Amino acid sequence: MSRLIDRLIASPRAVLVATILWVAIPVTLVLEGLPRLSVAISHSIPVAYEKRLGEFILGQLSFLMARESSKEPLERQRRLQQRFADMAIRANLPNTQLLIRTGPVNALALPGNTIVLMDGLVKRLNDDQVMAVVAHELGHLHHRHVMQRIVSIGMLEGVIESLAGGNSQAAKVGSLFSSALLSSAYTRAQETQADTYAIELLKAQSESGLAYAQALQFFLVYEKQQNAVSGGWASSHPSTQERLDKAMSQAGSTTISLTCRLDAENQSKFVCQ
Amino acid sequence: MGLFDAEPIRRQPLPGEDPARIQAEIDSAEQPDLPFEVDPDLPRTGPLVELKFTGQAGEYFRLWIVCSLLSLLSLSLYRPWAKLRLRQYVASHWHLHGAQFEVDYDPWVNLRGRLLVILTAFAGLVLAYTFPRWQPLLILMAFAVAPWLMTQSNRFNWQSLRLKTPHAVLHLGFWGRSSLLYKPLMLLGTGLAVLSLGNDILGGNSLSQFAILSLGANLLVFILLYPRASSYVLYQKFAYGKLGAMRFTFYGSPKTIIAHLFKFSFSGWFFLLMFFLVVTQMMVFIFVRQPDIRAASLGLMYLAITVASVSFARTRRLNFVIHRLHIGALSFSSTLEPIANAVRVSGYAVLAVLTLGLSIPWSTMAYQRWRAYHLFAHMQGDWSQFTPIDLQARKGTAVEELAQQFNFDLGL
Repeated sequence: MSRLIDRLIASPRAVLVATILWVAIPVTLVLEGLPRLSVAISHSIPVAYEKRLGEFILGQLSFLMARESSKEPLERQRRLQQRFADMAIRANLPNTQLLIRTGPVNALALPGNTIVLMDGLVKRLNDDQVMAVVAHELGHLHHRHVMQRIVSIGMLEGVIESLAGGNSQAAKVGSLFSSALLSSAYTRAQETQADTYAIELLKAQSESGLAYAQALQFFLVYEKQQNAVSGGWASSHPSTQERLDKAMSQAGSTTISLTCRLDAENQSKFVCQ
Repeated sequence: MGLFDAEPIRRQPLPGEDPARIQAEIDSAEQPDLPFEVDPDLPRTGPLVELKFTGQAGEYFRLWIVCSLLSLLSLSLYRPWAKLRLRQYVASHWHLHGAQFEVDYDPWVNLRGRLLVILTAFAGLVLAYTFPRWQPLLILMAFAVAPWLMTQSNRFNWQSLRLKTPHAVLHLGFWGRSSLLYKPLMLLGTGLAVLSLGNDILGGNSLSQFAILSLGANLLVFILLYPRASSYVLYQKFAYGKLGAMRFTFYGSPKTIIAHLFKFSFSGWFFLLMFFLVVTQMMVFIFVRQPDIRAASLGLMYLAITVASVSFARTRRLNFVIHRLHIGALSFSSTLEPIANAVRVSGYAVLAVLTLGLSIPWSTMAYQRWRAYHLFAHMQGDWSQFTPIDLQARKGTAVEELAQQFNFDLGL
């Protein structure tokens, strides 16, 4: 082996080929190999094994926010839970639970088939729009996105560690920057996938997908109100405008004239025409 | 007695060793005001002798690309052999007073160690994941074995080096014991274990109470316990080395190191620059809404705080060690500038990311040449005064294999 290496080192052609392969292999692996591998691996891990991780995240989350049960009227919560049960059966995720908690405008899908809806979102949207958001979260669970992310980032860091030669400053910095950027790119792709899934699920329930577009328009208005900006290479989500445009075209032409706004008098209400 | 006023570790004379010399060494080590800046008051051991690095970037690139690609294609199985060849290249191009450094060990040992590390890390992950409440216990267990691992790591690293002089081959060695590290590392481990309990123990019901307690606990661990443990590790690494039969004399103790640790990291213009960067980052987070700009700013901040400040502190520590280390008639001095080093290493790191690692061979050679330019050796007489010792070919134990992988290097 040592002699072979000496011969390779002495040959300019071999060094050139090695340099080309050095660039080509990791790029192909990161762009094509890892996403496919992570899908295959994440689907082979039993959901039951994810449950503990989900409970742990929920425990941490409960400390910072989402600590208490929702303050929304119980009747509405019951109605949402009923619609959720039907939707989960249609999505072939019957053992999924929906938790409605106090907290900001947000919704999460946790590993182990748990969806957490925050009060801030529930009180601003109507039932159809809330269920559209739930459909998006079911998309994350259907595709096992959290596990995919864990697997792909783990493998990615392994590849970068191999490239940079281990325990060096360059390896550490390279690993952090590259995994942060690629992780954002992966999550953006996952969000788009969950958007598509949500509209397909709503259509399968004989709905148009209009409610999902309305929910996205709410996020757009809310972002502007909060002076926040979405999208870009470092963002975990694609830009909301881009998502809305896609959702409109997927939902059908009936949604073209959609206009929704936050009620100027009562900011907790979101009105669509 | 304060937290940091631990008794300096006294070297016990071994059979055949001159007790008066050891006592003189201990007396020197206990001088609390020994300067640590670039030019301490220690007399040099003799005139300047040659210390140079002759590696070439082109040569090293060819070796590096072939070895690295083979490592990648073999899923890292070839890595130990690749790593050895690269280390051999770098070491063999360092020359000291007509002698040449060499690195040698059995790569199979390294490979077995690598597999052991993967298995241990996997088992640790599974345990931490399956029993999240056991995390503090796992941390304590890890810190209980860390002194042993670090000692073995030092032994492996020193013993894999040798100096080929015109008179004889001088093996480097290590005679430190893990007992030195138990107390400081177990204190640090306990602190980290308490931190890992998080909101279970610190939180109660109030977020502000949690924030205050958490900040206090973090300060205790990372400002007090971590530097203390780090100073013991640094001391052990250098005070217990050997060249041939000659033991290193390190003019310092954990006490003197800890006394200066804050100066290593937080001093002068560099600290002010870091402070300015942190404030700028906070402003960006408050006033800028664009996620891309915020992320770029955060990346730069990370680079400044980790790579640049770590390199800065490491250079000062390196100067501290170099000026206090005598090996018989051999001593060293340094004009390595901490800020220049910080800028250099940060630049190399960014370049490595931008070039997919292709700049690493060039930066490795440039860095070694820069160091050689700023390091000086002093020696009275020639190498014949050093007595070689016969080292049995080391097969390596499971612990050494494991330790080698960690490359514990809190000090330098």
